[in-house]
This record gives sequence, structure tokens and C-alpha cells, in this order.
Amino acid sequence: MDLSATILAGSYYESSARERLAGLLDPGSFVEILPPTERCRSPHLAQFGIAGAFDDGIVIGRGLLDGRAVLVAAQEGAFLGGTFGEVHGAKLVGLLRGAVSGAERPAAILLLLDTGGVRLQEANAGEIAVGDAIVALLEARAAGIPVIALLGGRSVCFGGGSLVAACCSGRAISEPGRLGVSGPEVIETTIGVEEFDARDRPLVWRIFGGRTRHLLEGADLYADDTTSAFRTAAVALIAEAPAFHAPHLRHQTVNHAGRVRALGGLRDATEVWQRLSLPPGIHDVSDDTFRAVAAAHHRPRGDAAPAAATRAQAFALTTLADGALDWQGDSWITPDGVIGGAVRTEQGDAIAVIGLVGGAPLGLDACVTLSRELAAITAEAPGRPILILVDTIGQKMSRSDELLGLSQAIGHVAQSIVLARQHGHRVVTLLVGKAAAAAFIALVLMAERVVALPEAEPAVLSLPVIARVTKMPLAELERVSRTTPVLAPGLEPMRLLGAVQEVLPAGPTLKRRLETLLSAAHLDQPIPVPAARPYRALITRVQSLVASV
Amino acid sequence: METIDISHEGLTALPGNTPWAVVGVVASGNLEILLERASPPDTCTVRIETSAEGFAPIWQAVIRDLVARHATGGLRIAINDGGARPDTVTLRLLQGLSMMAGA
Repeated sequence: MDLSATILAGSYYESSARERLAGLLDPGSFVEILPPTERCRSPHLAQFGIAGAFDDGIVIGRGLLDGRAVLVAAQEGAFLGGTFGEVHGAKLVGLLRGAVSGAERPAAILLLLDTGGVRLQEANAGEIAVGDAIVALLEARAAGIPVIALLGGRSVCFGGGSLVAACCSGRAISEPGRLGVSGPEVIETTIGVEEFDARDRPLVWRIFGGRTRHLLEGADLYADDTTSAFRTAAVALIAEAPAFHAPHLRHQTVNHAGRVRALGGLRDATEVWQRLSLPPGIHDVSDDTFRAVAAAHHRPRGDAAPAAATRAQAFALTTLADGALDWQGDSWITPDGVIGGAVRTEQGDAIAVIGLVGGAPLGLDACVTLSRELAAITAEAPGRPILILVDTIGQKMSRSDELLGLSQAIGHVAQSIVLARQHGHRVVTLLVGKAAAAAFIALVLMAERVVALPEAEPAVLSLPVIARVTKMPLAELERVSRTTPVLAPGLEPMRLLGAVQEVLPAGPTLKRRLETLLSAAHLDQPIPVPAARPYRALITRVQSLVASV
Repeated sequence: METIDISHEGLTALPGNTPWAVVGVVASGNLEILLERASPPDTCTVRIETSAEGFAPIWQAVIRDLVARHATGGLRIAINDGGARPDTVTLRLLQGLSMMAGA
């Protein structure tokens, strides 16, 4: 029996991470970095009575694809849902950074994502790793290296993983693949069964499934559920990978804004197909028929320019009443909580201000406004420092927003911020209130520096929600939270892990500090982290291994 | 979590020269096994880390059976167990042995 032929023809969905890599790359070309013999296991799982894996659920390394050198990372969806833990995340971040810092640049980076998102047993550490991975992958793209996401595993591709996918150069998805920010169970648990019945499996696939995501351009290519089909898709996506620059990002965000405007409020894929005049049975036809229908649908369409942002009355942040910010006349706020405007420093220099405040959720409309304003700042005021104000309960948990591609929209926001950084804008986030989950990744972790008011409340998820999702006793989670900052929500754990670097009360001192940071010629990275952790050392180790294999 | 260490000596050496192999995935009812050529040629050591406590006698029996029926000398076996049944354990161990004995 020819083993490699068996793997190639076999179901990608059913394969393990190692089998997928064996079939995807040229035979025998894969060289693993930090293989299981190195025993890079999570230090956090044993205290919960969970057995760790020798690779912490991600296989990374180097190999050949059609004779060209590529870097690869494959998540194992069967191990704790392929979740981003601290070690898991450090391996991915190190690989992505090594792609740029190594002497020989790879032809591409392939991410075989298979993940429910951040690993809740080590939520803060995983969240930070997702943020670092997005910044690193956008650096690689800016250096001209295509980063391709392949989405067809058991756990693909939710939470922070969906933002990673959204920031890639291109994505391929198969019918069993799913892509979204908040998974069906999370929406049902948080909002209620009338918003999303997670047991309704056909509904889950109509909202998140591969065909819906491809038709709505959340995934560029639609692949059969075989490893060889994903291999073909990867080669094609590398060949047509767009550069990471302002015009392309603007095209994507405007395109998506047009779709949100045309389809906003629809709650099921069947309604979308009707509005788009697609055949109603699109979920039941063969893969080939579906591909033909999708290709005809994807012909370029005229997209009207996005509507002008609602300019509201000048907005004063009550939390900054002590004159921490000196607003100029034209500040504004939209009904969904997005603010914008400019402030002046003592020296009279302008600082662009943008943000999401008042505890508003980060939904599709807010994302569109944020991306458009960030693009306007980089286009019209090159180099102007950007201050991001954040007080949001997190991503909007809504069937409609997920249907229309919330992960893409939040991904556009994250990319807009990193692009501004790459164009030389100083970017500082001021955390004035809450910031949870995907909104924390996009609006907080993408900034160069994060300053928080003492009353700020960053979190991945609350402990009661973590308890429900992981089915662990709340008392156990509270006990562990007292001994480690990697799990518990709150400002102090995030400060100890380095995600928040400074905590200052509103007032003149904060104002001066923000002005100093925003006017600095450069900000030293990385800054020291209070809680000594193996995370950064592991990233550095992987980075040097990438350069040496 | 429970850690169980088992060692057997006076064994026949495992043929082949594959330096290491890994089989399985840690998941509920499943396990991951890492096999390495890192013991003296007549010795097989096994370390099990399991989330299911209280099954040491069963692990002892499964490993005793394995080393009695198959050439396992020279192996260091490490197991991360998510509560796999004995038949699953045996199946995975045999899968690992055949990968190690191959080219």
C-alpha cells in the first residue's frame, strides 16, 4: 500500500495535524522544529488534571511545496480543540518571526489552522500569543512572504484563530470547515437559544460553514475535503497572494462594507442567497457545481463608496474629565460607539484619536467605521500619532454579524492598526474601561503600547463563562487564579503578563505620559515583563531554530 | 494527574533504526505515545502521565503483556493519557512499535 497516496486521497477533516503535513508537503521534505522529543508541553494543564501533549497541539517546521521552501504550522484540533496555549502560541509566533529574521526567506508560510481559539485554561497567555502572532504574520506579509490559511479541520476556526485567518494573504476552506469569531455554543450561552440554537447543525453550517464563507468571500478558495485538494489550493493562493499594503486593505474593507450595507440584518444564509439571486439548494449540490456557481457569483461587482461616518456632537469622555485629553472641535461619535477626532499636545502637535467606547460591542458596522477612519488617517495625515480609546464588552455576539463575516471585519481593523504602525505612526491604546475577547486582540494588542486607567477591566472571558465552556468547577478556576496570572480576568494579570504596560489615573500625569509616548521617535520593543515567563525565551529559541534548519 | 513509571529488563532488542516516533493524540479516551531509542538494548522503560487516577495495576498488566509478546528492548516510551481504554492503549503501542521497526 502506498501510504502517501492514501493520505493524499483521504479526508483532510479526519486527518491528524501530522498526517496533513505529510500529505501537503513534498514527500519526505518536512523537518520539524521542536519535535515531540523536545517535550515542549504546557506548564499550566497539570494543575487542572489535564494531560499535556509533547508538542502542545501544534506541529511547526520547514518543508518543500512544489520544490519551494515553505514554513508550516499545523494545529491538532483533537487536542483541547487545537487551542492557543502559551507554549502553542510561542511556537507559532517564533516561526512567524523567524520567517523574517532568518537569512533565507521562505517562499510562503502555510498555517493549517484547526482551533476553537484561545485555550481557556491559560486564557490570558493564549490571548497575548494570538495578538503577537497577528503582528508577526503581518510583518511577514509586509516583507513579501505570503501567509496562507488552510481551513478544513475538526475545530476550525473560531475565536482568535478566525482573526489570524482573516489577516492572512489568502484562505482556502472545505465544506466541513467553519469560520467565525463567536462559536454557536458561545453565542447560545451568552445571548440565548433564540439567537442561536447550537444543536441545530444545519444552521451552524449555513452561518459558519465553508460554502457560506466562500460565497461571502471570507475564504478565497473552496477545496474538496482531501489533503491533495488543499495542497493544490495552497499553491494557487501563494501564486496570487496580494501584498500587504494600504490600497489592497482599503479595497477589502470597502468591499466588505458594501456587503454589510447590502445584506445587513439578514439572519440566515438562505435569506442571503435569495437576496443575491443564488439557487436556494446551494448547500446541497456537489462540490464541482458549487464551485461553478461561486465563481460566477464572484465576478467583480460595482461597490458604492461607503457612507460618510455619522458626525455627532463633540464627544467628551467622562472618564477623562480631568483634562487628560484636549479635544479639538470636530470630534464625533457614531450610534454604535465609535469615536474619532483629534487632540493637540502642549507643543501644538495633532494626535489622531479613534476608538470604541461606552461599553459598546465590536460589531460589523463599528468595524467598518474603524477601518475606514484608520485608512483615512494613514492616507491624509502620514505619520500622525494615533491614540486608540477602548471601552467595549467585546465582539458583538450575533448570528447576523457572524453570517456576514465578523471575523473578516475585525481582521480588517487589526490589519489597519498594524499597517499604520508599519507606516511609522506611533500607536498607543488607552484602555479606559472593559475590553474583552476578540476586541481586546484587535484594539488593544495591536497597539505598540498599552496604557490603562486603574479602573480598566480587560478580560478574555469571565471566570463563570470559562467554567461553563471548560466544564470546570468555578471554585477550582478561582483557586488557580490566585496562583498564576495566565487565567484570571482583570487589569493586574494583564499587567503582569506584559499586555498592559502602564497604569495611570486620569489627570495631567496621564496626559503628559500619553504625549511623551505618542511623540517618541521610536518605542523600545520588547519592554520588560513583570512576571518572568518562559514565553519570550521560547519564541526566541524557535526563531533561531527557523534560521538554522 | 498520576505518574506511573514501569521498567522491564532482559528483553530482546527492537529491530530497525527509526530514532523516534509519535502516535495518537491526547484527547478524551485517547492517548499520545512517544517512543525513543534511549534505553540500554535489553531494557524498556515506560512513563505514563494520566488524567485517570487509580489504574496503575492495569497499566502494569498492559505493559507486561507488551514486553512479553514483542521485542521492545532499547525503548523509552512516554505516554500522555487522556483516559484511554486498555485495548486502545495496546493498539497504539503496536502502531508505535511498527513505526519504530520500519525504515
